[in-house]
Formats: sequence, structure tokens, C-alpha cells
Amino acid sequence: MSSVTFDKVVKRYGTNVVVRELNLDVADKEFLVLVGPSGCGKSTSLRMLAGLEEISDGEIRIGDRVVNNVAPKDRDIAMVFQSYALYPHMTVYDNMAFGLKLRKTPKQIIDQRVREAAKSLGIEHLLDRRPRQLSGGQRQRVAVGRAIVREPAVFLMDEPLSNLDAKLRVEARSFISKLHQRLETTFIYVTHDQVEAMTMGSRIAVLNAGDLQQVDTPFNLYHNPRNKFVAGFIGSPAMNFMNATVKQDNGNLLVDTGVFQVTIPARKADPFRSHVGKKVVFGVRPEDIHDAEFQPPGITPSMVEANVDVVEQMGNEMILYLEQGGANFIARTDPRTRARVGGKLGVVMNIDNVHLFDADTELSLSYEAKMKEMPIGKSK
Amino acid sequence: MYPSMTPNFTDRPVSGFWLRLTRLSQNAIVLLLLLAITLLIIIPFIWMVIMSFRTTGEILSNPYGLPTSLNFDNYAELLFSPRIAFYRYFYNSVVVTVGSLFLTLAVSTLAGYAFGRSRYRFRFRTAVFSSLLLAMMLPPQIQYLPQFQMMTEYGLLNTHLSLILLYTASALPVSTYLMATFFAELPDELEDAAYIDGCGDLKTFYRVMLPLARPAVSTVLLVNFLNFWNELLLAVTMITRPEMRTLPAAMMLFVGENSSDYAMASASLVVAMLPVLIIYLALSDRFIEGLTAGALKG
Repeated sequence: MSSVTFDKVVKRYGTNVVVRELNLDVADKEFLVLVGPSGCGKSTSLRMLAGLEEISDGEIRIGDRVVNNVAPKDRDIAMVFQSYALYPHMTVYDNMAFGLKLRKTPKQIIDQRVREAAKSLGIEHLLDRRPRQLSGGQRQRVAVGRAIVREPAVFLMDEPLSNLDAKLRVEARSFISKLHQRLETTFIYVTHDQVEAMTMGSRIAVLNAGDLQQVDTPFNLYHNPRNKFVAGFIGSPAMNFMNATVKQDNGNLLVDTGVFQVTIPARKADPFRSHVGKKVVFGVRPEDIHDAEFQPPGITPSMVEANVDVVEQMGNEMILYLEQGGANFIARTDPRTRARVGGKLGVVMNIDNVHLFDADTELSLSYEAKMKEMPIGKSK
Repeated sequence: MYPSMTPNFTDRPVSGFWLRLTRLSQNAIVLLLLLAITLLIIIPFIWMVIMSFRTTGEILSNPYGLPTSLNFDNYAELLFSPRIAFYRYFYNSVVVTVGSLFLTLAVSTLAGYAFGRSRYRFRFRTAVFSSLLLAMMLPPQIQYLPQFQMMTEYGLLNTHLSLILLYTASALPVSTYLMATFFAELPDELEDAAYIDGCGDLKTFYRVMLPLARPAVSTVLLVNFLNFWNELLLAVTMITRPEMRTLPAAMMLFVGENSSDYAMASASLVVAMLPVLIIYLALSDRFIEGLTAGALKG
């Protein structure tokens, strides 16, 4: 059990900077997810922590120990790989026991730990098999088992669910979450899948193009993204963005997208006043756009009429691809919505939950203000 | 599936009988061809085995005849006669072949690993590797004179070691290349997993990566075993003392300018061939795996 600290960590390949001054504190027993699109530096960061990549600059600490020049085997970590990387020439038992054997652990203890781990993972009956005789889900469990028996201070997982089919992935997600609760060890988990990040992480670090964008709890990331990238990356379907300008009208603030105008409620307007007359990006999540007929109570509505391009009936909800004046946006509405492709539909936006981003810096204008209101967690 | 050879211009299906006949005749042609090639290769062997059971007198009077009786005299004399001392040559061959194989494997697997895995970057990596490929193209004959001089210089003439060193040197370029291409195909994550599990470079090599390279190791073993076991030119150049000769060099003595002992020569060839046969049968599956590795990347 250990905390992990990235202190101004840089990774360069020649002149190409892959990770730029990463500062990140992972608390003991925390489940931190590193998420971002491919090539954002998340796997590289994890591999630097594992000791599989050299650190170009900065410092990585596990507990209080600087591990920059410590060999992977001496870092007290275990890792689960995307391809599982099970040794094909060894049985499941030997795969799990290999790390302990190398550490000259007594035979009885190896046997006890391997069998215990296998039992907890439900793979006892597979111990004599070879990896090629296992299904994808079983291999994944063996890979986790190989990490568990080592009883490491930090668990590293590099997209361990990417090779599973959709149904197994959902099962494996809760399985890994439970594992974290049971083992009470620090987990660092890399994924490009924001659903995995949201469902499993106690905190999420969003990376893009080598830069850390925001670290926070899933709730805060979703409701108060620090910039446009995080806002667009977290949430599915993604947040709708439209270019807009902020205008003043009789003491009220108006956001004009050129297609429609929305009035910002006075109690929410303060953070936006500095941007009157400036270009901004207007963002609204699909679930904050409702069919006018099924408008939920307690919201601040703003009516827009839109053309319906595509209708996706999900049963519990409906995904609508809407168009108005050349602007496309997506809405998640009540499943009873009577929308027809090619027809028109009156929708209302919940103005309470809109986001405005500076057009140049792409930073959220209301981030600081909202942070004070956030019910749980605090950002760094 | 075999494409039908019957042209089918109508939409009506071709009758099953003709379709089957066409396929049958195609199979028959292929089989006959394979059989012919096999016979061409195997007949000299059969002839050799037959001759090993006859006397030289019989062979000279009727070269293609069958043995009159099953006669093991040739083998008995070959294996136990101190005059021929076959066991001595057999022993020499075993020492030279096993020694060379051991050295070749030790060097080619390690060198192949360093050249094949992208983790190991060092100065002149590509240059050294390319020079290996270049070495494969040099005809061995032009090397004999300098090699002979080197062995004279080191005082290694008439020793097993001279052949072991030269055989290893001649085998290393191809063997290293084979190992390197095979190692290059193994997934990086296995190496990563081994490092995290607690291996250093050497342990990663021999506990994880080398066991996975068994097809390539078998190929290197088999190809070089054949070459080392049968090598003649270097063997007669570096070894002049009769009792140090290897099998191929010794067997030359049976066939002389003035008189040839064909029966004895055949018997010794059969005995010399046995280890090759046994090893090939043991390793052939792996051998094919090794040759086709990389053809289909799984």
C-alpha cells in the first residue's frame, strides 16, 4: 500500500514531447483512472511508473521513495496488460506463481497464495491449463490473478478490458471495482473509455496530447469540466458545442449562437459578465435538451424549434439528432417523444446547466464559481 | 476448394458425377507427381541399404542385385573391427558436432535476441546486423586458406576445437539471423510482464523468451546438425592425423583410386545416416514451424 506521486514528469522521444510536466498525486488506496484519447500519454505515464519507460525529466515517487532509477522488479508494483501477456509456455498456475518463484518465496506460501487468488477469481479449475486453452474473460482473470498473488503496493492496469466483448466488459468492470474494495491497494488504471473511467475511478485524470487537463471525482468532472476538452470527452453522447457571443440586454445576459438566443438566469450570470461582447463556445449536454411536451419540473427552460434528422429509440430514452439553422445537436429525450425523421420538434434547453467556454483558451468561464458549490470532492 | 475444370456456360448445375470425376483426376495427378518425386529421392537410399547387406564382390558382379541372404557381417566388422576403428571416427564426429551445436546455439540465441528486440539499441546495430547478412553471401571456399593459416597460427590443426570454431563461425550468420527474426515477432508485452514479475534481462531471456523461441531453436539445431555432421572439406583440410578424422572424412577411405570397398562404404553410410534420421523425425514438426514463423502473424 502506497501513494504515488508524479512530480513534473516529462517524457520525450527525441524532440517529440509525449508527456509534458505531469503533476499528479495518487493517494494510498485510491482508484485513479488515467483517461484520454489514444496518443495522449496515459499509457506512457503508466509505463514510466512501472519502470518500463525511462523518465526524461522530473520525479516519480512510490510512497516516499524516488523510483526514477529503480528496476521494475524492485518497485513493488504489479501490472495487468491489455493483451494480458500471459506466458504461453506456462500453465495458469505457473503464470501466477512465476513472480513469487523469482522472489524465492517458499513453496508452501506460493501454493497457498496462488490457490487463494484462483479461488477468489473463480479460476481454480483452470490452474493446469495453458493460456491458449482459455477464453478471453478467463485469460483476463488469470492476468489479474498473476498481479494479486504478488501483493504489490500499487496495481497498474493498462486497458485491461479492451479485448473483452461488451457484455464481459460490464461484468469485469464491477469485478475490478470489487477487487479494489477487497484488496484496499492503490490502483492506477489506464483507459480510453470514458464509461470505464466514470464507473470505476474514485478520481479521474483526463489527459490530452501529453497535458493533464483535469483531475477530479467523476461527479465533478461531469458537472464542472475545467475546459472544453474535458466537457466533450466525458459523457456520451458528447456535449453539444456551438460558437456564440455573450450580449447584454436590459441587465440580462444573452448568449447568441446565431441560430437561437438563450437568456442566462441572473443568479448564474456573474462568471460570464467579463465576456460580454466576446466570442465564446456554448455547451449543453444532450440530457439537458428535452422535448417541450415532456419538460421536467424545476428547470429554467429556453425554447428552440429544430428539425429531426435521426431518431434512435433506446427504450428507456430517445436519442435525437437535431438540426437548426445549420447547427447540429443531439438530445436525450423522454422515450415517449413523438419525433419523426424530417419533422419538426419543439425542444427546451435547461439553461441552469449550460456551459460557456472562452473561445481562445477553451477554459470554462464558470469553473471557479461552480467549484465552490460542488457537493463532494475538491479539485487540484 | 478446387475450382471446377468443367466449363459451365449454362445456369444448370454440373452433374455431381462429372464434378467428382474432375476432382478425383486432379487429386490423382498431384498424388502421382508427389510419388514420382519421392521415389527419385528415396531410391538411392534404398539401394544403399541393400548394398550394405551384400559383399563388395557381389556388388561388383551385379550392382543392382538383391542380397542373397540377410548378412550383417559388414556391420559387425564396421562397428567392432579395430582395423577400421569406426567407433573412433563416430566419436570424433559426435564431439565436433555437439560442440559446434552448443556454441552456435549459445551465441546465436543471445545475439539474435539483442538484434531482434527493439529494446536493445546500441551503436552500429544495423551495421553489424547487415554485415551478418553480407557474411552469408561469401562463398565458403574463399575462406579456407585464411582459416587454415589461422588454425596453424593458433596451433589448432588436428584438434576437435579447430572444427568446432570454424563450424560455429560458418553457422552463426544464418542462425543469428533466424533467431533475430523470430525474436522480433514476439510481443513486447511478454517482455514487460517478465520485467515486472521480477526478471532482469538474462532471466527474461532464458525463462520467458527463449522457451517461446523453441521452433526457431529447433530449426537452428536441425539445419546446423546436418551441416556439421556431413561437413567434409574443412574436416579434411584441418585434420590430417587419421585418428582425429570425422566420419565423412574417414568414410572417404573406403572408396579409393585403386580399390573400393562398396559394401563397407554403404554400411558406414547407413550408420552415419541414423542419427540424422532420428533427429529429423524428432524435430521436423518444430522445424516446419520455425521456417514458417512470421509467414502468418497470429
